[in-house]
Amino acid sequence: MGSFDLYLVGWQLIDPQVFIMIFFGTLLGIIVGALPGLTATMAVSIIVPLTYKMSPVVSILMLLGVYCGGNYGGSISACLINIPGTPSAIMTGLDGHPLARRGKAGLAIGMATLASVIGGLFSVFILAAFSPIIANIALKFKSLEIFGVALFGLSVIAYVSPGSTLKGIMVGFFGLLVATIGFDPTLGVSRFGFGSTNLLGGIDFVSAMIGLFGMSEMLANIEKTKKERDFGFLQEKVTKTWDALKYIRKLKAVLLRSSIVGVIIGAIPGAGGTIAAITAYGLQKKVSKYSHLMGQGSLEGIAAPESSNNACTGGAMTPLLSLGIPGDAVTAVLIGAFIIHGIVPGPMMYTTNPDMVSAIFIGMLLANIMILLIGMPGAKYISKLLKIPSQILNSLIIALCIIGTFAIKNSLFDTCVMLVFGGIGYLLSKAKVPKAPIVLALVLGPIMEENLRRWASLAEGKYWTEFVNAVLTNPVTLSMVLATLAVLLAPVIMKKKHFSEDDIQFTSTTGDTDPNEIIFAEKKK
Amino acid sequence: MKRKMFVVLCLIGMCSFAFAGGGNERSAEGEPQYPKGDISVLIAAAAGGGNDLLVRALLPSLERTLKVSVVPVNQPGGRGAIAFNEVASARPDGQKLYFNSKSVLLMKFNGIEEANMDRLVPVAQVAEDVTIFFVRSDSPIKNIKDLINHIKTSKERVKSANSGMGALWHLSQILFCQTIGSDNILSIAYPAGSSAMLTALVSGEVEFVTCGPEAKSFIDAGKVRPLCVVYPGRYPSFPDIPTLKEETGLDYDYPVWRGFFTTEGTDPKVLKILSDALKTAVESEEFKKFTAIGMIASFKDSKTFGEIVDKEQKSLEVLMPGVMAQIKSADSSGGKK
Repeated sequence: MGSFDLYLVGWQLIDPQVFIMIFFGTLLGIIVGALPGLTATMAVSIIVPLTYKMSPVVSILMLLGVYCGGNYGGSISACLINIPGTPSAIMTGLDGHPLARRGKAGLAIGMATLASVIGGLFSVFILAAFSPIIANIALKFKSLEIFGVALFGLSVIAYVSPGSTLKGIMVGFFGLLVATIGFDPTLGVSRFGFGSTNLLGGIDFVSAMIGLFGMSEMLANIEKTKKERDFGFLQEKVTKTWDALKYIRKLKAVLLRSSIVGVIIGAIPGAGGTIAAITAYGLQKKVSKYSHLMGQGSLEGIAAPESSNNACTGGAMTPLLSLGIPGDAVTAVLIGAFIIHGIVPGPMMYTTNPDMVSAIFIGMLLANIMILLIGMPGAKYISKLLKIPSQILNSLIIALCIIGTFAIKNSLFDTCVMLVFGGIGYLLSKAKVPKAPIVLALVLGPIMEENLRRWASLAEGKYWTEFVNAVLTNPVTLSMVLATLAVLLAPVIMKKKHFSEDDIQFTSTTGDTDPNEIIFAEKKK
Repeated sequence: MKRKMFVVLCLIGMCSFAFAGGGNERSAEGEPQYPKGDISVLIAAAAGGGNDLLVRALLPSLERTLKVSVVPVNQPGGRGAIAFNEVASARPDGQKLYFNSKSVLLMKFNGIEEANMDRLVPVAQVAEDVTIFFVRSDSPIKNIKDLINHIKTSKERVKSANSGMGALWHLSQILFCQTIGSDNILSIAYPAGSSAMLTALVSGEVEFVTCGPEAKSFIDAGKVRPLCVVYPGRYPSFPDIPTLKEETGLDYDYPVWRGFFTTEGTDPKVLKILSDALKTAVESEEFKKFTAIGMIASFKDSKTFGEIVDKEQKSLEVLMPGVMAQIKSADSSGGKK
């Protein structure tokens, strides 16, 4: 195969139907992302069951559209009503909202759109360029290395998840415990089945995920009072979104830096768009000459987190495609979608399904272009959706959660699993415990267990000799061991979390003058 | 008040419809008429997998012959046990079918007690695939004789991959070992299936793999080398691969069939109708197109298929308890020999 075939062979799979479904996927993602309380993770998990009957290419590319669109959509509500539509838009509102208050809602959303598209496109190129190389290395990965990558992913999430580290680790272990239900991976002996046939196959993690992210959010929404639900919609017309275009060249350093941050953080298993946005914003605040103006409506403060959280998409897809390990919670759901369609994500995909890999690159490219085409002219219509009464929206989503979980295996038991996890998720949010570690533990737990057990069988009892031997002879094993140790020990040594939300002041003020006039006036000289 | 009246009227209406419906069904039960409505096929695998695609390729023809809708229902839950239970405890009227491969016989030995084959009756076999032996394409092992020699002379146990201990491909390896008279192999489980097994082969973690024709993409990509098939003659989808018998003179019988079952106690006349409809479906154009991928169509009617199932069931009763005990003792001793 020629070196460029991987980028071209997928075009033959892109027919008008695929094109249309990417469009609808992206649109759906933007809408769901824009609605507060509905996250990109949730958007993808409730749409997975709707794609069962589609062909693998159509459904995977549509889901990628939802993923990319969902990551961007949150910025619309962040700018307009100062409530992030998705957690990853958490930083966008800090500057987007003050700018919108100044009567420049169009400029704020335009900037967020352009930054998202640039970050997204950048990450697709990185994904296309690096994932085949990583996959090639990963082909030599044996059980111990795969175990190492999964363990690293799990240790990272406990460290970087928002809120308390201890709580993150606690729920991570809860997830691992749930993951042990079902058949033992090597012996085929049933564990924790309690005599129930339904538990033989274990807890279906897509159902658990829909419960944790979909159902529990709905439960939390229901108890909100009317006053809390009407988020004081900003009566601001979203016009002149294209005005943002003229600032792009001046912000290119910001965009590039934040996109790189996004891709790197996305590629770390466990860390996701939220952390990418927070890090990029924090970095921008450190390096910017106008850091004192950030929080008052600075375009830098919109461009940095938005390009970073969308750059996360390509970053998170890199380990998924090249190692079969998800980069964030959404890609964890995507694994389920791949498997439903009979595709096992991992290094062999480049050999066995090169057309699929290629179509994924092209699909993500198209999805980002769709964001531009839908977001720039469509933002003003999407912003009107924020006025949908939440009663209607909540019931619709609860219905989708129930139908979706039933459809996975045609089993009511899975719907019950969803409801139970909805309750668990609700209680966890009340206790301010992060939920993402559970999902990652549910996905990574079986991978870890299976590979560790397999390595143990292969070592035939000589564990220490085999382990030391592997660490000394294989640089991948060595670096995985070191990286995991570093991540686990860092909080103890530094006594402080790096990416804590508490470090960043969530305040934004409206100063007397538009900060962008100062920033860009001086830059012109 | 008016509203309450309306509700009561509605309820009466609904009840009368329900009773009317029940009455109709009862009167129809006297005649041996089949099919009585839509038929559902419970597939013990997720949508999109090999078993699922195979069933879906048969459906258009089945619907034409039986003149009802045939609805595929994917129920991979509990490793196929949930679907098994549902069909086994259904009314024996042939309206619910169960589709699975030879694995259905192994479920009982893998700790799923309710998967007792007495509860199902075979309808027909529709396809068959075979054990193929693979090594990495750059392996010094060039043919099956080399592999047998290697197994017999190696100081360490020769590592191989299976899809689960006590599952389909592990069993094939056990029979292979009995045939060549050496059990110097260490079979490792890759429960994710053939793709994971072959990836492990490519990474060098294991030395050989036994699996079915789904390895075609790995062969085409030049990553693995097929050594032989275990089949009475050349396997039609891979005519270039020699058989175990022509290479070594040794052979063991291990057909990997896929077929339909229904509830025990179903009228033999109904089984005949279904079996004939499936025969037409296997010969249909749609199914021929599908089997071009690797698996081969191989129809056996209710009676012949039943005999095969019975025979294998008996030999497994002898073989499996020992195999499972061996697996468990090997694991509890921490993998030590």
